[in-house]
Amino acid sequence: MSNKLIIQNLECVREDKIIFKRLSCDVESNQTMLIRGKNGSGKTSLLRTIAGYISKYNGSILFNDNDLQVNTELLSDFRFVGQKNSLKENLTVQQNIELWQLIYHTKNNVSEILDLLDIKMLLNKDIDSLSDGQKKLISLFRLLISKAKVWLLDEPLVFLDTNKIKLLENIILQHNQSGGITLYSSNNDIDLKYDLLINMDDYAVL
Amino acid sequence: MQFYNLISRDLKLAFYSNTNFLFAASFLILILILIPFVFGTNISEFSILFTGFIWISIALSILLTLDRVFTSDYEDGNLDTIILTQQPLELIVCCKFISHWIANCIPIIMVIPIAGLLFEVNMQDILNIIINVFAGSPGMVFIGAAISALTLGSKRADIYKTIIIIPLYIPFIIFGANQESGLVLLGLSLIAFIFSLFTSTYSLRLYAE
Repeated sequence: MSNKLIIQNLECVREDKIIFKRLSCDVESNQTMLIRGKNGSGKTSLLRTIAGYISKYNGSILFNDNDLQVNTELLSDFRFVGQKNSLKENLTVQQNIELWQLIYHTKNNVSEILDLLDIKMLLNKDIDSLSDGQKKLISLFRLLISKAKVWLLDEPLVFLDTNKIKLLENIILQHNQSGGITLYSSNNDIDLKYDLLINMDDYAVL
Repeated sequence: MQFYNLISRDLKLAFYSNTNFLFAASFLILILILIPFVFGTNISEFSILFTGFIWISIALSILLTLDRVFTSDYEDGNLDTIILTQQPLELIVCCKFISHWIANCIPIIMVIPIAGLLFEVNMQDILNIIINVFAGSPGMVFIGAAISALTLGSKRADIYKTIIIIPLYIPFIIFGANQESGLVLLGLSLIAFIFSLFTSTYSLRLYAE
């Protein structure tokens, strides 16, 4: 199954200030797009706009030829993993996963995902006893918890070590091969493999 | 189904962070323990004081636990996650209201009879108080939740919340102290529900932008 995300002439305005303008790009199934740019150039704003959090924008975002501003129900196929981990600090990993399952309405068996992310030994630990990298890894669990077509990752590589970055690259590759689209923002020197590159500095209005 | 899942998610969260269920009820008991120290043990009007202190402690315990409705989910990013599942915001807000009421006010209602016996309040009065609390406390939770949704992300939200919410609780406390005004309280709660639903949904929509 193939999917297509088309952004046409996107202009994002927040609090009467234009963040970026005239941004256009096409992403298809089996493609990864890297969003680069200086701090404050609008990487997160772009991802949040696509995810539907920022609903007032000019231009259009089309997913499989449907305008996302009109057909908001299509956004349930999008999965946004931001810089906030969505983890409850005083609960264990297992408990956090149970809460996510209720949010995403799935009862899937999680042991496969736990093996894939290699976090099985952390299952009964409290979140606040974990390192930032481990928290980041666990927050990536949300990507796999149920099927989504478009992954929007905001700075997913922060805190991850090289092994884990490799692991994330494989996970994204698998997702893309089954018809998925991945967009991620990053400022690191190390990058995941990507097919398209967008540099926010070209569109940002400072 | 989604309704059920979201409510059970919030209740599970309250249950796992193990202080939550017990907090409101123990808060009530702690406030009641202080009464004899303030007024002495040999006054006969304890049952009147009792009603008043029940309502004050309900108001305070709701205030103290308000950041569990939206703020904690907002801060750790779970609110983003919930909103992106693309369920109607009204549904999300309703689930938050209901689950917070269950986690916070049901324990209080369960403790009232026991506390009442300690203060030698007669059964009929206890029953009336329970009916009043049952009718009035949802409205207080709704208002509190709506104001905390309005102040999401603002600095010093805690102070604003307290200043805005306490005056809005006055009608509930006035009618709550009167034993026969269960229906008025129910009406107040329903009005509060409508306004809170709109305010919370609107402010979540604003926040999401």
